[in-house]
Amino acid sequence: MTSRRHFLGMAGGAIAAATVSRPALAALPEPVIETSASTRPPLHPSTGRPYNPVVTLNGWTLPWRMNKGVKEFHLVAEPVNRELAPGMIAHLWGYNGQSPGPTIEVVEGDQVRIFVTNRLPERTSMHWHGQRLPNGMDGVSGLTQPAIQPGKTFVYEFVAKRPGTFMYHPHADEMTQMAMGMMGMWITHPAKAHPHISTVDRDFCFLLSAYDIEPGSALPKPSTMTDFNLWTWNSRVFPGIDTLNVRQHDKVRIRVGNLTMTNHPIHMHGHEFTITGTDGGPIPHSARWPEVTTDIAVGQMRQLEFVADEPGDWAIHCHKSHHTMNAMGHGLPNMIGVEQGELAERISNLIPGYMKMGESGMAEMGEMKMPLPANTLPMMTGDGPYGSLEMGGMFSVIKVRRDQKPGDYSDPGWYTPRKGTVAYEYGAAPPEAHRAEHAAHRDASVEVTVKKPEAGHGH
Amino acid sequence: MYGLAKQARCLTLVSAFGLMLGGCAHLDRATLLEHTQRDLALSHPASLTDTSSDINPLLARPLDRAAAERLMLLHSPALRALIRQAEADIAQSAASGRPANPVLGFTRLTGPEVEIERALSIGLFDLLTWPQRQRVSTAAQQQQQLQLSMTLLSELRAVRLAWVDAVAAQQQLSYAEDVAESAAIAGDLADKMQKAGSISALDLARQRAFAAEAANRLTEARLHTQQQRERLIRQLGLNDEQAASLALPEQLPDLPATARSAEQINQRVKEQRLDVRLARAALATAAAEQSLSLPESYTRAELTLHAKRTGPERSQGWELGVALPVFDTGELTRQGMDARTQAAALQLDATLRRAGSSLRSQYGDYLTRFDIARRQRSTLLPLREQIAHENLLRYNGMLISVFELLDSAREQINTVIDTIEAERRFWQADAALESELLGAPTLSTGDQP
Ligand SMILES: [Cu+2]
Repeated sequence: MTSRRHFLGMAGGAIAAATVSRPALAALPEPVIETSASTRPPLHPSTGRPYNPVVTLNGWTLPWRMNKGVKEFHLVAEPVNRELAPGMIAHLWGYNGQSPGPTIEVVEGDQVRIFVTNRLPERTSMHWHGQRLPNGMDGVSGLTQPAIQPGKTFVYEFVAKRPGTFMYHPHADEMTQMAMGMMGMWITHPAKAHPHISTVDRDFCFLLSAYDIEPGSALPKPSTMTDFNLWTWNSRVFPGIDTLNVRQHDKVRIRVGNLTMTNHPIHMHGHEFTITGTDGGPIPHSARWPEVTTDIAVGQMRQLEFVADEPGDWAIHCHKSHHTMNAMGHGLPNMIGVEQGELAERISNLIPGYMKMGESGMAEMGEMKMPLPANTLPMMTGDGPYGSLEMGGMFSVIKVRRDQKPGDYSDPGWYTPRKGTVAYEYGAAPPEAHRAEHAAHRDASVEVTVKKPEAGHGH
Repeated sequence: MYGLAKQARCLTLVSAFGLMLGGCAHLDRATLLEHTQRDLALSHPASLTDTSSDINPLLARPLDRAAAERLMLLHSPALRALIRQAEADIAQSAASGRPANPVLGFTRLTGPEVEIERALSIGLFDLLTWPQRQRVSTAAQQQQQLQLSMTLLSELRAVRLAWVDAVAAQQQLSYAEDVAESAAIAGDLADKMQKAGSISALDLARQRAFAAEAANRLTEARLHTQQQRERLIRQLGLNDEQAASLALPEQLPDLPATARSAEQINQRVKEQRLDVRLARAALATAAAEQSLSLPESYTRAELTLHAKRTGPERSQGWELGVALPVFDTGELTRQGMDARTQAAALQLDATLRRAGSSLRSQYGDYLTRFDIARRQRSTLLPLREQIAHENLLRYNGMLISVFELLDSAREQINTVIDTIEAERRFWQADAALESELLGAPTLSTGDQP
């Protein structure tokens, strides 16, 4: 096993599956299983044509073998236990030990053969989202192929024609299987210099997925349409999402695909970026414009590119503020300004352990760290150098450092700003604000009167 | 003179004889209480016979069930009235076992001469059937004694039920207060939310209505507790002062570790049941009366000794009166007695047949109440506690509102109330089974208030 792992050039944490019988898989590449949810360093190709590998956020790239000029991969669809963040394990379905599955990286023009083994209790298939390929390789069960029954292995084979960023996911009982976390990234690197594809110093990728897991449980509910409570990047939520660590002045590409049921406006602090490509292909320079937020619709892929020239810890997150939260109750009353006073004491007498919350907002939730149901993450959490971050879900940090070495993806820790560049508290009491006379007498009870449009004023 | 003296001697003899026989046949108070006490299988001896006991020590601390029984037996005027009434009935029965007293007649007539006549009459038949009458009297007294046992047993059951209900109601009341408090808190919180502008008029009205309903239920619960306590006070026969000082235990006793086994229940001999013994005694009385009634109706006979003095003349003699069975041949009476005896025999048969079913039914009720109460306490209550705890965790995580948290607390408290209710019904079934085992048949006591 060790030699094989060595041959495959895998980092620690990946193990060859010992459970599949050798004779049965004699012709198959041995599947490689990943046991950890941490970000693996880029997998530099030791066989096949060269390319600049990507870094999969809290993920990894699947090793392959060359077989008479064909790049062979082995994906195993199976139930997995995925840590969404420390303190919560989700029971998902995924590939090769994790959800999402490993990233597949190939080079434009590669002949690719993928073995897909089904270790799920139900049939599945594999759709290569966005690829040009023979119709029979498109992976729509019932339409282009019979479904892969449990215990069976199917072989997909095609040429990776277009360079770009793609995804893979099942097209059998799709609602259930995607809600259970079955998906992965596919990167086709350009074979040679491409006018619309730039060479970058750091290339990150992740998929957006969402889960509805009842607090205190572990298995997502596949029939949920809109009320998801865990918004993830590569099946991780803040503070479980690794930071994107770059060197100052690096050219950085971030590839983001959306396999949730709604759109996500991904917003980055401190820099402008451009969208350089979608799963439809690279975008000509003339069609690009600067942005700080890009909305990624369902089933779409976006490539963000920017030069990380501002050192610091820059937030990157979905701009739907509910999506930077973990599980929370919907339809809770707003308790702001509701002074509980002696009521809180009465409740405590009745319910020992009761703490009043929400009287002045919800931020105290991030600080109080009260016991929660088992296997449940706080709605808002995370500590930064200046206190509680009060975040969750789709949130991470791009850490730009002058001294981050090329090829070093490790976390440099919190940013130390130059003196005098951090917002500070004003030393004196603020002056009394000037208010217009009528504003001071504003009364909530004043009725709003709506003047109805009168006849004859039509236009 | 001689005649009268002889008569007087004869009378003395008769009286002495009568007293002797009567003494044997009369169930005296001490024996009555002793027998009754044995029938009731009272665990605290001398309860019935010991009237000198001071009840103040019993009232000085919370009154447990055994103390309540003892207190009623010692002290309740109603209960003691029942005993006195039984004594009176028994005395009457004993009296009816004796012959009618001899009648001394004295006539003084004045005419040409003063005429004085003395006569002593004795019912011959009474004397002849004396042993039979004694049998009737003894049977009747035994029946009355058993009837007293039966009545007291039903009083004991009543005091046990009243005690269980009063303790349970009082125990439930404190939880009913918590339920109302949780609703009141929700209502008060809604008021504060209205000031902050975070609740609709609709939801506010709902919360207030809910709090008002809860307050009403609490008022009902208070009344119920008071009513049950008063029921117990009446059953115990306490006066106002004693009633005021009556304290009850805070909770019902713990459930027994195991229910009474079927073997324990089946060991009871049917013949020893009170209802069976009572029916048998009734039959014995009827049979004895029947044997007496056969000759009585037409052999009424009376012997009278006469002593007469008319002026200086004296005469004496006797007179025998016999009733002739012309109009009443005794046939109807005989038929009636016969039917009465048969009725008593059938009644005994019916009682024997009913006893088995009644016991099985009561035991079934007892077992079911035990199962439900145990599941309520050892399974449901911990689960409700866990649910409340999980809800607190959810509240901590801002997954549910404080209103849902209060709902959950209320649910938990209601389960405590339900648990006490289940235990109340168990102890009722237990009291009923206890009576049933001694032989006081009970219908389902489950829905006794
Ligand atoms: Cu979003």
